[in-house]
Amino acid sequence: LRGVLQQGLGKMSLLRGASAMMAQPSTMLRPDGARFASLKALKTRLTSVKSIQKITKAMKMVAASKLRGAQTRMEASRPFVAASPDALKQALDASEATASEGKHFIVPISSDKGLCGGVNSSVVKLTKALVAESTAAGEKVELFIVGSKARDGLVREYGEHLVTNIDEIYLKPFSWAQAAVLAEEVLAHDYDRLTIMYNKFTSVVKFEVTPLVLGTPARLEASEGLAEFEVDEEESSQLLSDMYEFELASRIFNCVLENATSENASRMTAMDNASSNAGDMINRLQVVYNRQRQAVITTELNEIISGAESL
Amino acid sequence: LALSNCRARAHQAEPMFRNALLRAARTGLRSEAAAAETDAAFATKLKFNFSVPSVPLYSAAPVQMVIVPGASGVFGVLKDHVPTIAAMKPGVVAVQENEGDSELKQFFVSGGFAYVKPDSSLDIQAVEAVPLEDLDPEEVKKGVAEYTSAVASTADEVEKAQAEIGLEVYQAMAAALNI
Repeated sequence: LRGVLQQGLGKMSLLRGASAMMAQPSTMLRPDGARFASLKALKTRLTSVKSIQKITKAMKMVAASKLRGAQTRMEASRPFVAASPDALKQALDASEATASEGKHFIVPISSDKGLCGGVNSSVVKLTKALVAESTAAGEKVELFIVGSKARDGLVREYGEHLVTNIDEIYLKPFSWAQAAVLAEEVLAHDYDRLTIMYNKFTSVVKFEVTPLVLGTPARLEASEGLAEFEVDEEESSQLLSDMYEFELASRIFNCVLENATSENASRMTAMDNASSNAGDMINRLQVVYNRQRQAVITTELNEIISGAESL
Repeated sequence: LALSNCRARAHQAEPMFRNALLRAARTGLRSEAAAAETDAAFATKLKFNFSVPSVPLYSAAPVQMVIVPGASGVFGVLKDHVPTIAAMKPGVVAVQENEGDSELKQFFVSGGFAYVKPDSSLDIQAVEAVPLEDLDPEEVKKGVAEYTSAVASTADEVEKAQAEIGLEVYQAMAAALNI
């Protein structure tokens, strides 16, 4: 979108130049070629904006169809994620925990491709604020960045906190197995607090950056709600940590799917806006082009007539 | 002036308000009736949720009994089972939908978790689950042979562990198919 805007700004300056020429007919007294050259330049700009509009329209269609697929996958996965007991979810929820000494592990989730509106920049913005807040409170912060866009946004200022960057996870539909691999990587770093920053998908027009704050496995042991459940004696020692890993994998799975759906929805809107902006620009350029063309023809006629009269 | 405007608007709104009230009452009654229906279904049956990451297989379905392959043993779940958390090993989840059914719907699961919640509903999160009919006996036999040789041949710990996991799953499949 930034690229289209920049090109748009270039065209605006050409528009201004063209209208300035309209206002001062004396400037048209130039060698012949200049008139046609500016006409040709306008025509070139016009065709290039038209092709940009075609591209953005096509990108919007692609994003819309990807959105449908992503939304279906996300909604189909929700029962799986919801199946774990409320007591487990409550035990893991660490959103009220205040920052203290220890390690804060942050996982911002972003896309690999751009031209998707504000989804990635909003994740980056919130992550920066969170890192600043955390380091001010005395926590050690580590960043586990999923997707290249967040890495590009964060590496300059917070490069020293970066431990891992995961790229190209969107090449194939994201599977639970991939989420399990990510969860294993995350767990390898001993942390006291885990925050996953992602875009939660509410509807095609509404998606918000949400921090999902999770605690450590120790919280499961301390939970009273979970103590109500019967657990087979033989399994109990390993069970809690297995459950934590499983739940973490499921949460990461859910967050990535929601973020992917939000990304496609945002790209669809952004490309739609770009197409209509390009359409406006085409209309304005067309008007300027027509006026220029008419002016050239009129000047030609005047020259012919005055030349004929002088005979 | 503001007060009189409000009153005028209220007068105008009255019929709409009345309609809204009636509509709300009707939906209230309807949802109560619907709730009564589902409650009736679950009065004698177990509420069963069975999902894999890609799709829910059973969603709040009333079933009679489910047999779950727990890590420390196979156990059956009926209505009003005590709240339980169990890890699942590779095995068969068998669902008896109606009382007295001899045919059980069988699914082979690769692993996951089974929760009986305080409200007596059973939730199974399986990483992979396929209907037992979809397993190919020839492929299973080949898999058992392949992983048996893999376990015997590798010395590297990680590879050996992976081979053992593969062997466990294939052996469970073979046991499920009775081959």
